[in-house]
Amino acid sequence: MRRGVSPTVAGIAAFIIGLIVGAVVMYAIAGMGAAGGVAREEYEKLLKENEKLKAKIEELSKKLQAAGAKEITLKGWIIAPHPPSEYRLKNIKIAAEILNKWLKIMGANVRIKIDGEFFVRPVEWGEYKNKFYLAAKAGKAPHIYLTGHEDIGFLADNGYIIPLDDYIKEYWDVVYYDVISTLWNAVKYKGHIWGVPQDTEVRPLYFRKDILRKMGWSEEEIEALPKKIEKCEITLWDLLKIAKEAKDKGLVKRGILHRVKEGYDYFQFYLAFGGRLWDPDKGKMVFTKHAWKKTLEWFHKAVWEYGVISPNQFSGDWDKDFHGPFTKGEALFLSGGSWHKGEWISKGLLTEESFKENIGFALHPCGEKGMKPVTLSHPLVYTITKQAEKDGVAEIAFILITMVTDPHLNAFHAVKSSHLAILNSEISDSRYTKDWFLHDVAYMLKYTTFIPNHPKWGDYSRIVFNILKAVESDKSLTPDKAFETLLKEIQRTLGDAVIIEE
Amino acid sequence: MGRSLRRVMGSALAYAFILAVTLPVILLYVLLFLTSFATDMEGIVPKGFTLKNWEFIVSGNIRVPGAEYQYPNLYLVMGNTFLLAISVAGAEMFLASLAGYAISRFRFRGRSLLMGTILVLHAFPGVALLIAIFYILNALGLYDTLVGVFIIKVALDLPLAIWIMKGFFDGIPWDLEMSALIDGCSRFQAWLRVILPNVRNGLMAVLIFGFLSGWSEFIYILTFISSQKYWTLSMLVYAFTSGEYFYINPGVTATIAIIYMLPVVAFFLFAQKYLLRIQIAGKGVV
Repeated sequence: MRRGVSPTVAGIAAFIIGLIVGAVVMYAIAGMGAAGGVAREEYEKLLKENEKLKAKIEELSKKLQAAGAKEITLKGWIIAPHPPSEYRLKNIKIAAEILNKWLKIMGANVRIKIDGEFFVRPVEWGEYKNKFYLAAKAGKAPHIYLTGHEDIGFLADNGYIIPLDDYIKEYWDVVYYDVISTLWNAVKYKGHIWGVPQDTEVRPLYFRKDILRKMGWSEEEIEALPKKIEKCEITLWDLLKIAKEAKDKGLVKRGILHRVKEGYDYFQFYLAFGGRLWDPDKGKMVFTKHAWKKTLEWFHKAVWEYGVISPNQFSGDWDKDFHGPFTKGEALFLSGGSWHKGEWISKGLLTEESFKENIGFALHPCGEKGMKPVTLSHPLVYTITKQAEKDGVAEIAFILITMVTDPHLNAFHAVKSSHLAILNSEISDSRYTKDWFLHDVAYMLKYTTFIPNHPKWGDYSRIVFNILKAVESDKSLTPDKAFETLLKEIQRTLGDAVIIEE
Repeated sequence: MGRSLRRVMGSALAYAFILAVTLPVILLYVLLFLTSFATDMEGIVPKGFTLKNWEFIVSGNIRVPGAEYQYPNLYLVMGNTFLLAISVAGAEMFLASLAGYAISRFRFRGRSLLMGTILVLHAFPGVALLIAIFYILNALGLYDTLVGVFIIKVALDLPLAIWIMKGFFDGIPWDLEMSALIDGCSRFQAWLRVILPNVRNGLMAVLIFGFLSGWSEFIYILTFISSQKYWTLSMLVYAFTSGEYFYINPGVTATIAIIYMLPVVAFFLFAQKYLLRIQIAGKGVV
């Protein structure tokens, strides 16, 4: 599995490592005043690492000078269905610029050129993935490919990406030690690491404080709601009752909004009812019967008994049936994502002030008493493709990813797009700390789950979506009947890939 | 007097009918222009007028709504579109004029079968062939290239173009060609100097259809092009009209749509007289 690192690349890496560690040292020093001081031994350790790296840089510059003029073009594909996430590509370009400046200072004739494709509107995930598949088949895949972590299984099994264990080990002390440890679970598959986390998020349950006020809730009660949800004092069933009350009083047109297209958000309800999606030991997906039964029952009742979810919600429009009604105060709850806050403000649907005044956010409540509240994260990850290996640029592509995985650069992206930090030191970045929302939702990461990195996850997800959509739109489809169909379909399609448990 | 009145009434009714049928279409174009010059629209009435929506045509730089990132430069995209449209039109005209002539004038084994299958090929919806086309482009190393899209377009449009040209060649009397041959022309010279000038209208028709087909191409660009540097205007319009409408800027979108439309309108006006003279059916050898 180990891939050798050429002396040239190792030299460049050493130089970068020096600068990054230097930055970390400065960062630590700068943070001393506010944080009450960094441990002396920590500072000494960073300084020592820096000295060690300086020697490597000297070695590198000599080797680079001996090399002829050369331009290395790195092709990167980056997706941002939400335009505010444009720093995903910008950061790569910034990192390449910095690298080129360093190389120039060192007198090396090697330059890095970024041929970046930014898949923004009109590209959606499905189209992006199809394009990658076609490009990979045609031998024109990018070298760096940003994608959802759940694709790792498929990409790895089909040989589209390469494992990164050796590189991560090599550069562990540069930055990877700083990655929030739970995120590594999202990039592991079959015992290897296949990607580097780029960003993550949580999926809060947003609620309208102004509506709750009109319902007679006191400010204290409203402020206490997230805590009550965290403690499982409010369940998903209670949510239906509150939403129904708001609707019955004519305060809202819709009680609860959830996503309008296929996705992963609604798996949170299954998780809240005690369901499991992934068995890491066996490397298989999981179908928890009792949790699915409860989930289907909850959705059926939400639509047909309580009338708080529209029967057409899954066929709706993002703007008319999701963002619009909630930001206009026509709906009480919204099962959304942390990035939506940034999106609403960038779209002009809400201001920072109106968000703070009227919108609250909490975990998704536990299904029933004694269970746990949940959220779901979907980290995007940088992968290095087989194409990069074929073109002999895998190492330099990895170095660039290492540079991009920087607390300052990532904080730009996190703040602009309302994503969460991926590095521990990023949490104390001045830009990041100024964003009260990111700070306030960070605790949700303790309750987060990832969707499985299984090649057949797409099938599991699609089957669930079709059944949930049918439950919502067809009153005659009882939860029992829906459960039978769901189970049968999962077993038929996924076979041994899924563990069925009670 | 009575007859004259009836004639006037008849004409008036005909015009009223034509107006009623065409009014919605005309309104659409009018609205498109109004939107491109409007600060905002109140229903179908502009709230105010501005040139802001046209500002980007100076530099050609178009920002992604909601981001600082820019789509490929307008002039690069227009250049790609022109290149594709003109090359498709030229190639179709050249190949169809040769193939149409051969089918019209020569008797060879499998000719009838060829004529029949050519039209069947045209009947295949392009979308159904996407996977097969991908394998071909992949084998040729033409995935993610405009040359690849050009070849697909020409290949799929050619059957109809050949049939159009065959019809025109059929309409040219044999005697004319025979006279040229007797006068010492080779077969190629007869085709080039005597026959082709007589099928000018057909050539123009194929050229126009080819240009419009290349200009409006979308599905193959969407599927087989991943690099934005090869985008054509149809992709730019798609980018501005799809996705969540909060990000859509109606003024800029309308302007881009007009930019996409105007060259076609101009080309159409220039070539209209040729289109009106098209007579596909001929009396040639069948």
